[in-house]
Amino acid sequence: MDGQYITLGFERERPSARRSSTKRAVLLFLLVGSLLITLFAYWDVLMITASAVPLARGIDSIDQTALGNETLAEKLHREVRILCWVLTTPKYHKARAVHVLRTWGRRCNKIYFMTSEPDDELPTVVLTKPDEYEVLWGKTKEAFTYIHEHFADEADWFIKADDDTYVFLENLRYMLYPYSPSTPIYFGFNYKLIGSQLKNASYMSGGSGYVLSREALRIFAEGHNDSTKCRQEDNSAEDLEMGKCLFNLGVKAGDSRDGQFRNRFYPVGPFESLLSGYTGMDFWLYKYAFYQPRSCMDCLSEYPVSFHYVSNEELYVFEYFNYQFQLSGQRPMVERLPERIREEDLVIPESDNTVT
Amino acid sequence: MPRLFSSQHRCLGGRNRFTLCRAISLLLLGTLCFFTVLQVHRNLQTEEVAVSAAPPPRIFCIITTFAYLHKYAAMHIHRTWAPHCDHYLFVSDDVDHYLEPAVFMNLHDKWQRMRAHLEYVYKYHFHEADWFLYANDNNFVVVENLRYMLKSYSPDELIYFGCKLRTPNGLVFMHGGSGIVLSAAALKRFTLDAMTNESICSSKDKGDEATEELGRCLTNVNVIPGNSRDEWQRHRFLPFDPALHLGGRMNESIEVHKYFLDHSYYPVTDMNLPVSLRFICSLTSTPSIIYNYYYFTYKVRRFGVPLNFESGEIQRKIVAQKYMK
Repeated sequence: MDGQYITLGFERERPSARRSSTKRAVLLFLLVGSLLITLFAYWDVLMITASAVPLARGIDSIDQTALGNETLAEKLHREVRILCWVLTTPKYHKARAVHVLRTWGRRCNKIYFMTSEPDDELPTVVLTKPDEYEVLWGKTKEAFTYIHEHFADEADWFIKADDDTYVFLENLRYMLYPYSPSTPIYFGFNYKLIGSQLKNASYMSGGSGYVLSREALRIFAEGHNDSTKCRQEDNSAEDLEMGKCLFNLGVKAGDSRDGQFRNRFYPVGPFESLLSGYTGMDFWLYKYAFYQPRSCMDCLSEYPVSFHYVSNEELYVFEYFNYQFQLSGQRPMVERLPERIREEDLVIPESDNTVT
Repeated sequence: MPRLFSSQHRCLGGRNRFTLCRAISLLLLGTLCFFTVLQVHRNLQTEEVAVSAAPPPRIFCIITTFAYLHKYAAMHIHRTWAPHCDHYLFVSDDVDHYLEPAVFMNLHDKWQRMRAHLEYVYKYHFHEADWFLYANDNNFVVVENLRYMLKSYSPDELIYFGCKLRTPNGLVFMHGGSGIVLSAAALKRFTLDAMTNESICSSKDKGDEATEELGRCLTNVNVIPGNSRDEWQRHRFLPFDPALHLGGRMNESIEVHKYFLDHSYYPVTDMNLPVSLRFICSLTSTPSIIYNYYYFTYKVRRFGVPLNFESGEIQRKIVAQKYMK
């Protein structure tokens, strides 16, 4: 009797089971379909909410300028600490050095003026060597040694500049970010280092500034007394002697050009690189440059680091145009931190300037 | 008889299957409709913002030069800021491959040249722009900031801008060394009413007083000399090189400085003029320095620093909208 009942029930169920399965399929299809449509329509919102929540990501995360509380520049200010030092003399404290401090100097994490007398407005380091052109190399050695002894922990990178140099600190930090301060390396505008054993060697222009890593500073401070490697007398061009000394001590001379091989450091003003034909090929820069020196409208980096021969008034012109001036209709750009370069992957291109 | 099958089956195979099924379908339909309406509403919202923005004012740049300065000075204008104007025209006394100037020969007086230039531009190029900038080959001009300033004015207004000066008699005119910007209506009024009438506007040689005469003519036909300073009374049209205004001061013993100091319409404090953050035009001391200013204005960036005039809030909204699209 039960079997009969069951059979009946089963028979009764089969047609409706088929109907129910199609109905269920249709329902499922509708549900999945609407889910997909919602997902498609609100993909962007999901992305926004996902990136707004701080994830445990590494330092090389995507653009935080708009969505984070700290700008990228502020973040780099914390992470890539720069100590600047400027050679000066009491005669030019108020005439030149003060303007450096008021324009770009205050953007360094720390800045010191190497001179022979203290000053009420400037953070100075009083050196023992006299302020004479002939002992510039001696002053440089003393300055770096002093910095290594007293301030090595205060910064990761140490830049030397003149009082007629203008440095863009944010772009310097951007340039140095991929490198580690424990790599023995230094950057600047590369000149050819000419000498018998020193093939394919370069030294950096002193006028446009050069920046040493903490490790390079340590190696220099500990090794510059070696007379086989570094000039012991105080005279001679400080940038040339620095280059020779660092080369002999095994510090790498890095390539400071940007991703499109455009110069970031430049030992004269911008227009001499931007206006081809302003000088002829007999211009000294074309002969001494380590890398092929081309002048063109697009030959300087968008993120320049420094220029030389900037007069006092021009310091304020640079400051105004690059830090205060507003261009209408400028669209905000998304900027990303570059990838870190491992020391073993570091490749420094060889000299390719054939101008003599 | 006991029910041997679950109510779920029952709902699909039983009596109430239509009701529940219908309910679910209606619910899904309702959700889809809601989302569609939301999307359409959002699209409408963004469209509203786009429509309310008026088209930017069109600017026609007239750049005066001479044959001996083509290669030395005018060429650099041609390569840097002139293309930022909606249209530009070089006016010179001889031809050139690159500049393709409109040539006006045998005009040895600045006022005669100015009359000829403005009349020519009215005849041939009036329809091309709303505002007309009359500049020299030693000016550096940021055209985008000029558009920004002119956004709040109409080209039908009788108004003109520049670095404002005044004579001791009270005549207001613009400094010839920095640019002069005329509205379309002002140019039309000048060409049709002023230039044709000797009593309103002289046609004689004026020597160094060319822009003074322009000021007189325009005042006689009711064209207002506008205020080109920004909301903080800082100057957008500068009479000298930016290096002087930003890093130095004017000196009475220098003739051109003394002329400016004696004729400036606005008070000069501390022998200098405050420079607006949205500066428009200045003189340049050497032609090649224009490349520096152009490079700083349009190419140089500071890494990681958001643009000044947009606060963090607005910046976030802009980036969020970018993602929304």
